[in-house]
Amino acid sequence: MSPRAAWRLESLGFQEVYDYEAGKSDWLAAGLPSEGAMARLPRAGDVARKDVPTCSLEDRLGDVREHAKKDGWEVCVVVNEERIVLGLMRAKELASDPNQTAEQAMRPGPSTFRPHVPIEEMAAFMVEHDLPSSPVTTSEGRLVGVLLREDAEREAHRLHEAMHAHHAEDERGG
Amino acid sequence: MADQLVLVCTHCGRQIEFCSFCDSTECPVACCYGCLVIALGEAKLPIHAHGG
Repeated sequence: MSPRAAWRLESLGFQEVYDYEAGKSDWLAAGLPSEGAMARLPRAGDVARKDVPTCSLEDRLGDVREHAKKDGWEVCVVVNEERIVLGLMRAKELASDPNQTAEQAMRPGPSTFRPHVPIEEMAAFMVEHDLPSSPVTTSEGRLVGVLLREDAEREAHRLHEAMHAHHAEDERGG
Repeated sequence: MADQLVLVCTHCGRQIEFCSFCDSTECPVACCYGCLVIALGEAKLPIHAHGG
């Protein structure tokens, strides 16, 4: 919050008040909780699958592929020991030479998206770009999960239907 | 010599090397990083005049 708001809260008697210097955008980008009307809308971080398979740079591609396929995944995120995203392997990369390392096969430095991006916007972009999956990370690059296009589309559709029903109810009531 | 394929951001017209959304160098709906950040609401909001 702003320094002024922090001082105001202290004047109201709150004991533990902190000035979050990185700002509201950084707070939201970390997937931390928020309040207000917009907070109820589903976002990329809510819908992203947290159980996506991960591997390290040194892992053998054949082993990574076997592990991913076993659980029905066609994507694997290459991370370091801090779960920072270093690369991404989708179906094409996973299907390459099994004797390579993940580092040799991966797409380095993939585009990543913050958890607070509205699901409708992510779904629209993923459809437009024909992208099956997108990694979601914090501002520091730490993996939150992978957003699958079908999940994003389904959630965006559900949201659209809910809003439509809400408007129809308003019109009947008003 | 064959013409080199030029990728252009479909939002602002800037010439780019790859699409910032899908990383493709042949994306038909390519988007530059600046336009993508704005489109997905990731841009930091301007600081209010009162500094809050």
